[in-house]
Amino acid sequence: MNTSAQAVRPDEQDAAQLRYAGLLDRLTWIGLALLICSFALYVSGWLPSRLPPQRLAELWGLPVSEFVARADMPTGWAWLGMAHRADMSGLVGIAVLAGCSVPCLLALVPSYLRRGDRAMAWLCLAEAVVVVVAASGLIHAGH
Amino acid sequence: MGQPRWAGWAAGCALMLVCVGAQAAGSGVDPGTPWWVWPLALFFACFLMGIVAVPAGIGGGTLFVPIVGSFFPFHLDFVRGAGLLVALASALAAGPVLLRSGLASLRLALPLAVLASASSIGGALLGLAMPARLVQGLLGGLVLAIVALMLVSRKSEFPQVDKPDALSHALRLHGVFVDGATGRTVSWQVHRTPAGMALFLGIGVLAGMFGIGAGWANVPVLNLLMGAPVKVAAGTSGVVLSLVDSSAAWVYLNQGAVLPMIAVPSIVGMMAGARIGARLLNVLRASVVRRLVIGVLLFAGTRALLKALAIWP
Repeated sequence: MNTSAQAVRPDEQDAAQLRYAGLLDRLTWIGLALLICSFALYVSGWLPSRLPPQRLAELWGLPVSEFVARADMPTGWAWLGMAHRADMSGLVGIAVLAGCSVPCLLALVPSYLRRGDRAMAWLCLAEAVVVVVAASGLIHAGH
Repeated sequence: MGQPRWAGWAAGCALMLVCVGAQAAGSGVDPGTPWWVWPLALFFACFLMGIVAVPAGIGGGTLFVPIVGSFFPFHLDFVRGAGLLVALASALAAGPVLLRSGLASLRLALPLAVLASASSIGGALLGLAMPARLVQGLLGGLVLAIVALMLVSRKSEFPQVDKPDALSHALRLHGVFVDGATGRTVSWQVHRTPAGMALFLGIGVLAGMFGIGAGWANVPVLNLLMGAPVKVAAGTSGVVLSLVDSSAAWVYLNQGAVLPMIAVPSIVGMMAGARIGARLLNVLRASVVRRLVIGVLLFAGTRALLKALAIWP
């Protein structure tokens, strides 16, 4: 560790980090805005729900596998086809939040490669692949 | 200094009252209870958790799963799904600020996050496949271990790292930041990278299995083992969390274990509370709040264990 009184000069790595931060910031707020708007639609009853709140309250104490069977709820990406339903639309904001790191990471790959920083480019790609595999719904568990 | 001490106690006692009230209402299972009572109570509880989490120096996600899982009527599967999203939203909101200020390092976060993200998928799959009572018991044990860690762990503000290891050198895991407290520019580097990466594999499993924010484990590994300054360790931990919790959250989402009715009031309440908590940081006595949070976690951890053993169902 070294300390000095000189100012920090943003170098090329800082520029990549700043780019990542800027993209992440925008996508996070988009995700949060979607989340809150869709929730307002759900609880206000403006849009029809697949599972009304009263019925949901009867089932939320069950394990997820039993809940899905009893409420006939979608798994995997099937919810996307029902996003016009108020309760399912809430998952759009959640998906944006859970997936927003992927475009941010991929955006850095070309700039790292241009600088010859292949290790960082590979790490960005690897992390993006891990999140995409998790999001794919190809891997699942059950009670 | 009487008022700040009083304010800290008030926030903690209010949180305890909400928990006990939720437990009493939930165990009574009154079918006449309107559905909206629960998201409202959840919002209020998360708001209080957000206030006390910041001065206590732990992530709101660490408080969320043990408290909501023990005292609210939702199944632990949905609580863990919401817990991951609470930790994820908080980390995503703070991440850009930390990265811009240099208090978080993307270069340091990525190698650790790749391993922890992959293992968090395994942890989430394992957690969803295990019986709820077993998860509840393990969660109780983990929470009590976190309490022990909070009691005994020490921080090193600027650890001495004489020489980076070969992997750290190859990946150029070093950087600089301006310490706001002194105005000085601090350059840092890390060592023991392979050992740190191995520990992050385990941390990922715990994060995915219990839906619990893992800042309590990330920071000691980054700071005490790898030698990152404590502020860089805390900031980088947030970036790691934002990546690890993304992977695990997808597993819960794909299984149908994410309910917006539980997740949204929790996220909004926690983020609103954290903003108040950050403002109160210089007013509240951190040591008092920390002791109070340790007390609440001790209670929640014991409750989870007793629930798993069917002693306090």
